[in-house]
Amino acid sequence: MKFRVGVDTGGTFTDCVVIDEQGKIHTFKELSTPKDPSVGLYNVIRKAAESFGQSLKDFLAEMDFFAHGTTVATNTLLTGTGAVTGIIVTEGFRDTLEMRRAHKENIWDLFLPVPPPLVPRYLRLGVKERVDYKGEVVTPLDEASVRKACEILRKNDVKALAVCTLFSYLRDDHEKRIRQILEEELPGTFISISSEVLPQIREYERSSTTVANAYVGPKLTVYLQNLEEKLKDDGLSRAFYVTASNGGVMTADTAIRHASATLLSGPAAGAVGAVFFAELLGRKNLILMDMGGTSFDVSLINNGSLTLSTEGEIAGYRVAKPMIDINTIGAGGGSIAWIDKGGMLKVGPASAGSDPGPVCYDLGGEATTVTDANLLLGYLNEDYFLGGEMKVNKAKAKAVTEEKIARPLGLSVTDAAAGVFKIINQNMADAAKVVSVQRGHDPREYCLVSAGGACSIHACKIAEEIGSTTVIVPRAASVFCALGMLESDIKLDHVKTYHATIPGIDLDDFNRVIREVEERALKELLQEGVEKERATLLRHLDMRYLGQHHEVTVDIPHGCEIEEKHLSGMADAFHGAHEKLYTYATPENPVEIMGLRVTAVGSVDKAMIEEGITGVSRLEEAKKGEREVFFEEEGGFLSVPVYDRSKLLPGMKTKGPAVIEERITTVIVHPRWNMQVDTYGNIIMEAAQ
Amino acid sequence: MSVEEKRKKEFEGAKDPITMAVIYNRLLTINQEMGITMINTSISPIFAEVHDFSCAICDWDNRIVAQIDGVPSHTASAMESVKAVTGYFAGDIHDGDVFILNDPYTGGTHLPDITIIKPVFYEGQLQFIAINRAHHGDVGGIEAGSYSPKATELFHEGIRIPPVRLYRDNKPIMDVVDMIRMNTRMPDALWVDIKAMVASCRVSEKRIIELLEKYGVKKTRETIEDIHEYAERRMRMEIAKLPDGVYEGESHLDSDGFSDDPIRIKVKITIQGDEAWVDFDGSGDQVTGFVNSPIANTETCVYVAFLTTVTTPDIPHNQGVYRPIHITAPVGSVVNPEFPAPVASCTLDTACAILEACWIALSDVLPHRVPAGWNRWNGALISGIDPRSQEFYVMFGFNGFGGAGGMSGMDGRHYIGDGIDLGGLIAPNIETNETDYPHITEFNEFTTDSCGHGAFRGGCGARYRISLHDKQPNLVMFGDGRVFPPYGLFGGKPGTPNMAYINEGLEGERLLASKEAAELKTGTTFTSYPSGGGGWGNPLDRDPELVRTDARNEIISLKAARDVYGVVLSGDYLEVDERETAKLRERLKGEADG
Repeated sequence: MKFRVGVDTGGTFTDCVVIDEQGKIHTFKELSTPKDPSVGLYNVIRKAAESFGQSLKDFLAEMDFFAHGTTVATNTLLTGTGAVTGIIVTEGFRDTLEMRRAHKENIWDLFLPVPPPLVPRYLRLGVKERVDYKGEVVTPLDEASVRKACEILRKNDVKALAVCTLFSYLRDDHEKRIRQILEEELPGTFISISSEVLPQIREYERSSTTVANAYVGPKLTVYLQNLEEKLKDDGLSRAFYVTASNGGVMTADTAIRHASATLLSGPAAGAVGAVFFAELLGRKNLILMDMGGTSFDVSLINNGSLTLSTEGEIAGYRVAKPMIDINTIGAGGGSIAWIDKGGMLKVGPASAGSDPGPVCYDLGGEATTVTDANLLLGYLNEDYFLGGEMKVNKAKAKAVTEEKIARPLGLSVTDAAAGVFKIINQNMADAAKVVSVQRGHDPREYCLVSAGGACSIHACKIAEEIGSTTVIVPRAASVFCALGMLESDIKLDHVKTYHATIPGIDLDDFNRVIREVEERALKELLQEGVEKERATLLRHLDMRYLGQHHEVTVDIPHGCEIEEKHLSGMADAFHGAHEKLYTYATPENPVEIMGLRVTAVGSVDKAMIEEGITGVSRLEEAKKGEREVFFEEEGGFLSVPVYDRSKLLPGMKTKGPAVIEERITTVIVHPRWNMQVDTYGNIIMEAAQ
Repeated sequence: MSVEEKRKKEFEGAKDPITMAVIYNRLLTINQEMGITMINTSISPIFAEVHDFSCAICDWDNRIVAQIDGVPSHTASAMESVKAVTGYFAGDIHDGDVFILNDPYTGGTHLPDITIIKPVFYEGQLQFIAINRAHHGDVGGIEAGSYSPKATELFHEGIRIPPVRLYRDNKPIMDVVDMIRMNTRMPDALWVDIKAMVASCRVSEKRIIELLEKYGVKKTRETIEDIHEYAERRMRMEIAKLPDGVYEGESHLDSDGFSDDPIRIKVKITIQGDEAWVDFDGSGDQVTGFVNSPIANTETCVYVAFLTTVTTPDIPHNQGVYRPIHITAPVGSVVNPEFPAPVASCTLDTACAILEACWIALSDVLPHRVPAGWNRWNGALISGIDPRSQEFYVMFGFNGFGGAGGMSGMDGRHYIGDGIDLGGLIAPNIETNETDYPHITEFNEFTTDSCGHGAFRGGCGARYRISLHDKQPNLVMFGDGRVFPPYGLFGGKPGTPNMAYINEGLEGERLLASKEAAELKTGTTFTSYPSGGGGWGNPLDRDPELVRTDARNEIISLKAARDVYGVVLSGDYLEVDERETAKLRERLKGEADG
């Protein structure tokens, strides 16, 4: 028996998905173990092995593919528990990192706290050297100044180092020499140099990324090396892969070198899971929504591929690495409803989390949350909370909502709860608009994929708000991320600053640079153990109108020399993207190329998923009963049928309003929506015409 | 009743807190999208890297209803431009029009701030107005970059654009465009950037129409009234919390660039019930040089003072919040000058001083909300011919920023810029700046001890030096704050004064005046030492561990740690010597009392 195994370490649970030779999906869940995440990982693998009647050793030996989504890097950054890190910069510029380009996220908030720099000023050290904007040396590297910096670093017991000198993306010899000296003087230190981590213009973004890399590197190294060693000792014979922020996987070795590329490991895997579904269902355009207790993540799949952005902010730190374009807002089941000083009802971003949690948990929560509102509106079942494992106190939720929301606003409790429901829906819809409308995608052409326990209560309303007419609730919604990993290709990003204009580009030179980057990319990919015939090199260009300062990344032809005949198509792709994003294009103006990106992809065998599941034959038999549920558009509470999801069969369909329950997830089919179960057991909801 | 009818009915009810939240949030999202469009499509670094522009959405009655994106000094004054345009073109505003304006005496601020105004029509009726106000690199005048220390009247400062129609039927009126372009030194960049401004308004138009399609005109308009009333209600509640009384504040500008006489800004804030009267009687007369502040600019500074201290940051910025604040300033004074007094530096120098005077007045009643003084502008403007391209350029000094003032419980930020911009301007990277303009940077890093010391110290300014590579660079200083550095509060010390030099440490070294224009030679160096922010509270009360951290980080010197903070540090890692510190602090406090 061969298995493909994905393990995703989340905040609360460690999820494991196993696909066997028949294409059958098996899912397992264990509590996460934040102190040493490998404990949770082992617990869940052991559980899986047992269910197949195998020893851990045999199970590991029979793994054909093993991928792991880890939050080690993310949590290290979020909790500020990285290595003592130093940075070497060009003399005169030691504060670039802390200056943050003088940017303040909310100028009206004088008291807005600033995230502390990952490297304190006394470990940010300048060395004598200077390169200019042409890449020419103005001041040669003074090696003595590097050795002098080493004394300070040694004295302060620095464990990780970043090197970021001015214009090193044009000329990297100073950085490379500095690294050699650091290796001599401070052996065993984790070192990241900016010309390798991110060879592109803008020293703030480059140094911030390089520092993030160095800061999380040592912890990630220890974690992954120990884990890999242990897994191999215990019988794992194949490579061990880690998911990256770009939605691909990489070997543990590569992940260690590019630690900052694993910062969005988990959500990226979820999005890959969505791509997998997109292919399975023949739907190319999806908006993936994941609603948890405190946050709502949304990302977009366009024409079967993930949308990536070239940079983003994680925990307040700038990281310019290709990462899944994901928008996260503070909206979840635990989001607190409150009335501001002027009498406006607001929901979130503060959350009651799981402790004290919503009022209805009766664990001391004193503020109405989205979960409480959903309970009062009948969307959640007080008798079947977490499959009946948890008792909830609806009376208390009602009393608190009455006192804190309804009465001050002069509304009934139901109208107040309906208001909370409406506002959270709109907040989530606006978040979905950021990744769609603001990026030039029309949400009417997209299906929503609803993942996470609470999301499917809200999904139809979010869809209405953004104009989408289809909602998919996948069968394995809660283990989406882990499933996604099993479908990830090996994906390594390379970037090179390259400056030219269309018209006017020197094609010989351009092709030479493409060759150079692609050789490097291919070499690294083959080192990952990818067979040559499975390797593809994709090319993208960062382009803008001459003089603009911000680029649009456009795909260009790959696998061939770029010739004169390709140029107009490349320019048109840019004009089209610009028009879509910013309402206009000026094809009469020259286009400036600013950078070349090459993504090396090593394709992985995709699992086959079996179709059809067993259950009862008539919809009536899946019905558990009826309950009163509030629908504003119907003017109040209606009695609607409640179905047991585990008993639904492919082909079954019904009209909204209806409720579908399973242990963790509740699906509300809202009025004017129809529901059907597809051959894979997914629930498909369509807006009635 | 059908679902559709029910839906319609729902939208007929007024005073609906839920719909209000939904529509208001939508307008803010649209406003942010306008800003993103501008950043990504403009070509001048002042927009694309620095964000010196602001977008807003006005309603049919010329009232700002949503504004989240932009620099504070553009805040309320944009509304005056809209009024000027709709007044002038009353009865002659059509779908597809775009208007332009920059005249400071007709609702503008200073001439470089060009405002683009696009009415949004739906069902044949004007519903909303999208606005983008942006600071362009050059609009003509005596000096390139349009800050002219020698200007004595508005006509010396550049082209003056009254309300003018720029687009008809969504097409630019090219003769008008050319008339404006040809009066500036960078006509091509100006036009591309104006197109980016129009694009940002178009994005807004598209989204607003989607909003109107969903909610209908009637419901939307009722909700907008609710939003204004909501904001007004919140401002009134906050003002009502302040004890009734008269609170006074005063600040000074160093000079107007012609004489060395300080210019007084005096403010008297009277709080009575839930309204505030802000009067500038006693402020200096209007002056010869370019620091005169037209009334719209003065009003904006007052609003900024209130919105940063009296209210919390989540209050909507719309016309409703301004209703309970009544502002008066004597005609012919520096804060309400008469045409044609020059005004170019009012959005920085004078604006900072007005804000400071208001903050100082409010510090009596809001000691835990009002910050110590922020930096005033110290950057230079350099122009010339780039020897690499033979093209004319104008470079603003957006590196070498100053620090913010300390506050109750929090230190000021380092390197955040001048007070009136509140951190809204973004410093360009050295790498992009050197690629864009012919110079090389020698250093740009925090200046030790530039912060005003205090229990909560100010942020540091950054010393900044560049050497210039073109043949005949022209340098213009238009800053302030050399004689009057950022104030300290409640025992905190002031920040350092702004300083700037030509060829510091080299032959031909000289101190630059805070307002002057100088013709230079290739290889000249310009060095600036912008002030750090003022301190809040007595430095002898600062947590010794924080003093240690600052000393280790060379934010403060060991001498300042000892002499000003009374903290004795020793050893390689500068540990706090608690006994010696206690002794020293007691002695220093005794000296201060004695």
